[in-house]
This record gives sequence, structure tokens and C-alpha cells, in this order.
Amino acid sequence: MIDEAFDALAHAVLDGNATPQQRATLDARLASDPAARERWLDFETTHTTLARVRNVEPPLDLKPAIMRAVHADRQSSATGHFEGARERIGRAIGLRLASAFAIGAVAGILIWPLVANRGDLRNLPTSGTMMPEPGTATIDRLSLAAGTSTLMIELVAMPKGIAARMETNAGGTAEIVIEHDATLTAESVREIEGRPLRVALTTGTIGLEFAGEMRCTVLLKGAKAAKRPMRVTLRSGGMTSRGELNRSSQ
Amino acid sequence: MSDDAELAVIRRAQNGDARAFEALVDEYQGVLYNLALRMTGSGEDARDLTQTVFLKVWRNLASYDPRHRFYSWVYRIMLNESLNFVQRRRKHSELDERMPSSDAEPDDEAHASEITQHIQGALMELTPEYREVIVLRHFQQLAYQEIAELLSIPEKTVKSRLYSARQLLGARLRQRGITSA
Repeated sequence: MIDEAFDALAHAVLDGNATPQQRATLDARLASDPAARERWLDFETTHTTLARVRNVEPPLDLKPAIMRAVHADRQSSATGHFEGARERIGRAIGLRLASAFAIGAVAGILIWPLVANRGDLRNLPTSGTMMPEPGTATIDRLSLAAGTSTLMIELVAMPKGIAARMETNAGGTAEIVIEHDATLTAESVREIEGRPLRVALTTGTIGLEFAGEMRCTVLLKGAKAAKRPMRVTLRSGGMTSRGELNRSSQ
Repeated sequence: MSDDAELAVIRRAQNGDARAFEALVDEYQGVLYNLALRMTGSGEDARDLTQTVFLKVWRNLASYDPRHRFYSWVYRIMLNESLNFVQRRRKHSELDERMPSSDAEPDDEAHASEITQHIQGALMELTPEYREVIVLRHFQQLAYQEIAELLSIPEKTVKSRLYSARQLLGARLRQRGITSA
């Protein structure tokens, strides 16, 4: 007579979950019970048949289609997405800055005479929704590579200023220094994605340290901003690479 | 990809890193596509579902809780999508759920062999509840406990559902002459 206990035992053996003792129990039952043997054979055949089904490779165009959809979604919801990323990163930066501020306050008292002539070091606001407006013109582009890092920077005209959009990738950590005309004011760093380790502005200089991939946009305001030259330095892995933006306007 | 490496990739993707997300697509597109293929019986529908699911994963990455397994999360999204799709198809078309879909052309890679076509056909004759446990256990190689976690049902229920599903499937295969009576 076939019972639920036999079925459970048979399935456990077929699924590879049975103990040696359970296997022995099944063997004994099969040796003495023809109905159990028949039922076991049915189960075993179903298992063997199902095992003949092989997984198939997904279509070759699937991954490109997925990534196209992701990129399209990313662009269409850029503002919202950047908001989320910025909030997360902004919180992380906020914590770092709070710690840095406490340490800096003590250190500042000690080293102030050495740095007093180097301009104001300001922390940048990392919130806001300003995006380069649709249809704004690209002024110039630059690509740099140093050590294990790459940087692509694009200058876009903005009302009363320019936006420097950066896409970077560093094998370890890297530093970007942008030297710009002192008449320009770096307003803020926006649309941050990735891991900026340090964001600092001094008069005429933007400094960014980061690890891995990072994207951000720095907004600079000032008269004739689109015509002011900029020098860009990328340092990574003991290597340095330099380039210029708006060179033709010099 | 190890768990730690995967978590690091997920975190990068949560920060909007599309390249990191691409690594997740590489890791999971095969299993998700096959899961959808066996649930729907159609290569074309599986392709569309896989794309839809990855887009949902991308959009909802921020809500992923790393205390749970990532694969459970994406599997669950795919299972829900597949079940909804099968229900919609049954509701809105004249297609009989018990028949393989008309997309299942003989030259379809998913149905390359005749035996696979018959097994897929027999599978489509099962209810979605029975089909999913067969697919998860036999084609995705998940353990009882993993299936239980994924479907939010007790392990005991997984076993009993699986045993019943196997018996029904075995009978269907015999009717189709795939296995001897």
C-alpha cells in the first residue's frame, strides 16, 4: 500500500535530501513492495525527463535592450534620481563635514598663519535642483587619463554662468583640480553621483577627491564665464595629467 | 560574484552607477530569462518580461534591503511579473492557458528540442502555483527552504505542492507519450 510517508521518502531521495538511513528504508521498501516500485519508477522518470530541459542563453540583444531602457529611464527621470543620490551622498558628506569641521576648527587655529593668504576654503552646498537647461550649448569638452583614472569634463553655457559636468572613474582614489578665472565664483556642486571624498573651493580653484565612479556638475557664475579659460589637472596613482578648457578663447 | 562583491556592486548601482547595474544584468539575466521562459512558455514574452523586471529593479533599487538576499528579491519580482502576465494573457485573450503560446515556434531557441517542447507544453497545463514550484526546484535548482522564502509559504507547503505538481506533470507527460505508462 502506497502512503504519504512513502511519497515523502521517495521525493526526498530524488531531491538528494535523504539521509543514508532513509535511503536504506526506501531500498527495503522497493525490494518488498511491487506497487511502491512502480510508483518510484514514475517519480524517477518524471525527474529524469525534467532534467533533460536545459537552460537556454538569453537573446543576444536582451542586455543591450535592458541597458538602453535603463539609460533612457535615467535621463527621463534625471532630476528625481539625482535628488535621491544627492540626498544620500549629501547626508554622507554632511557627516564627514561635521567631523571635518570639528577637527578643522582645532587645526585651523594652529595653521591659520600658514594658509591665511590662500583664500577662503568653503564647503559647497550639495542640494538643489538646478540642471543645465535643455538646449543649452556645449562650450568645450576635455578628456584626461592619469594612472588608473579617467576624467571627461564638459562645459555648458548657463544663465549668468557655466556648468562644468564631470564624469570620472578611478581605480583607487584620484584628485581633480580645476583652476579658473578668479572673477568667476563657484556656486555649488550638483547632481553628485558616486563617492566624492573631498569637495573644496578656494578662490579660483575647485578641488575634488573621489574614489571609483563619480559624476557631478559644478556651477560657476560670473561675467563672460563662457569665455574664461580653465586649467584642469587629474592626479591618480602617482601620475598627473593636465588639460585646458576654453583654450581658443584665450 | 561573491556576496560581498555583489553587495558592493548593488551599492554602486543604488547610487546611480549604470555600469554597476550592468554587472547585475550580466549576473541575473540568464536565470531571470529562463524563469520567465518556463513560466510563460514563450521566448518573446520571456524577453519582454526580463527587460521589464530589470527596469523595475533599477527603479526600485533604493528600496532593496541588503539584509535580504538580492537574488530572492529579483526572483520575487520576476515571479510576480510572470504570474501577472499569465493571468492577463488568460483573461484578455482567447488563448487557452493549457496550450503553449503561439510564440513558441519550433525554431525558437527555447523550444529547440521536441522533448523540451513537450515538457514545456505539459508544464503549461499545470496551474501557475504548481508550475512555479517545478520551475524553481527543477530548472532554477533552488532548495525547498529557498523556495519557501521566495514564495512566503512554509517549507512543508513547498514539499506537498511540489509532490502534487510532479505527479500531475508525470501524468501529463505520460499522456503525451514522453514517458511510458
